[in-house]
Amino acid sequence: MMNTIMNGKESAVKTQEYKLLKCPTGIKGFDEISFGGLPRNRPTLVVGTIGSGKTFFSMEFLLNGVIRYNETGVFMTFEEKTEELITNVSSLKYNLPQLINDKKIHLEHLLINQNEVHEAGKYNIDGLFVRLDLAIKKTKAKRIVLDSMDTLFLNLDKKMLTAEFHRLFTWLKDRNVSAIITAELGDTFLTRLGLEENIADCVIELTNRVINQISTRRIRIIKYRGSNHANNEYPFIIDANGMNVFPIVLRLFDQKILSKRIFSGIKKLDEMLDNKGFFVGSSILISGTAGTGKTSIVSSFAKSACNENSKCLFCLFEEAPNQLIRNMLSIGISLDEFVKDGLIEFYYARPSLQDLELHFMEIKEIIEKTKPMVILLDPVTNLMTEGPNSDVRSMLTRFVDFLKMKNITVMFTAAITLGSISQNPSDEGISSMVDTWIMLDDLVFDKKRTRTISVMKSRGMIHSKDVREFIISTNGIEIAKLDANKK
Amino acid sequence: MVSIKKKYKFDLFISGKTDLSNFAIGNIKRILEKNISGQYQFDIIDIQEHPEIASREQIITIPILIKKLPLPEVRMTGDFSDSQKVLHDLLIYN
Repeated sequence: MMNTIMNGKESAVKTQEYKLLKCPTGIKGFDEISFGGLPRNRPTLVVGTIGSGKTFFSMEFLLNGVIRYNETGVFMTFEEKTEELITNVSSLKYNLPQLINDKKIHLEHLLINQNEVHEAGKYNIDGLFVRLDLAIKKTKAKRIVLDSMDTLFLNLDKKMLTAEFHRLFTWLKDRNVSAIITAELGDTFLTRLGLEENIADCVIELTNRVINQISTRRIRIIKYRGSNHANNEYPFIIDANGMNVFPIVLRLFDQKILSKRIFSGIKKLDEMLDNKGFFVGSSILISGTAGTGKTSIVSSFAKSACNENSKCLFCLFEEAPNQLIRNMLSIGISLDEFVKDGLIEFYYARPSLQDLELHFMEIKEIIEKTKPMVILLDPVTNLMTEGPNSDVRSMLTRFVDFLKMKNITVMFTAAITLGSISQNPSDEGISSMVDTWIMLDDLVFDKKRTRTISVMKSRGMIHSKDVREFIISTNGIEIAKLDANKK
Repeated sequence: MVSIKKKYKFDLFISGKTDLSNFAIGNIKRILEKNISGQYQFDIIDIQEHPEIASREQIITIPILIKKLPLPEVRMTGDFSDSQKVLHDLLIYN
């Protein structure tokens, strides 16, 4: 009895200590979802199909180790010739050949062509151990990558390999190195060798799925013994800056809540919003069918912000900037001067979903550079029409959360109506991520169309529940009480 | 011994003085002596002592026997317990 209690205590202490031992990958977003990185001084199994980014993930782990954490590394590859590997990562900013030259990284090709090797009786993979050991000693490596084990698996006796992999994992732990071992997807490799359950403390899965001809890369932490980790699948991209994982905001609690207000640029609309307009750093959705005046509200808001000397980033996914400027001028909203002053910056792109995450990335980069206070997205509907809605929603949610953390006010337009929500309840997800939702509608009576405006919701304020008439003329935007008999 | 050019040249790579190493050495020596006595040069390389050779020779599995001569080079891994298979795969004709 006494014994059990003691053991329990001991293991609790161990877990506590273990939690602190993390090895940061330096991969944007990944260290957040893993709460600090990979297990330090332990092997991690990274699984994924061909082209899912295993090699890239591993290489960036190693390169960041050298550049950012002053830890040398060894990259053992079964897959590609070393020259090819160097070419493949040359898109990254790091100079791999230089690092190899400086003995910061040791890169070695493990050529295994078992078709040309005959087998007769028992053997093991001691050659690998000896070579790895030498490489670790030469570079004093703290980070190891073995990419990928399938080559061995395809060539050598499975029973022998199972035993040898167990030995390899134990051996790596004894060497006090943080290691990544990559393998192709699970079924064949993990289950048959029984690796996942027994020896790997941390298993990460990368996928590259094509849905509706749109390819999305995903990363998921399948297991992480002794550590908390985020469970979802997270999208990631690989670009010139390396790998980027997009966590669905984990740090939202850090966000400062501001009570400062910002005017909408339409006096009567501000009146509907507690007389004070929107909250700074909130997200505002303008929804309505085509031609209800969504863009004019966005433009008024931009103009008003500029008048207050707030920088705006205007992201257009439909009209080109010049077209927008001309059209807005026709209703008395002149944006040209602000563009010249540099208060309005445009981002213009034709929407296509496979690029959505890239658009958001580029927009984020512009934000980091020019630090706007207001972002306008017109419209996001185009982005939502393609592909599985949930994907777009989660991308948009992450983007909005990112803006919130920076206290940037965001206004975006979408062609959503009440009707469409009752038909397609999933659209409600969009409303739940916005703080203020303004609905434009188009009523027909007396053979005439009448535009209406109403505030569907606005968190944190007493807002008007009225449906009012929304008038766009050459003099700009007016909001009036809706004629009683029109109702 | 005066170095006379032998018809056969073999390198056996082992890793430490283990049971497996000893078993493999014993088996291969017996096979060679029985079948091509006097016609071969046989070297044992312990990669624990010469780890850099393991990289140079692309050694992964251990023990491994490389028949360097006559060409073509042939590689064989295991404990060499099956002498018929060893002779056949190494292209040794006596």
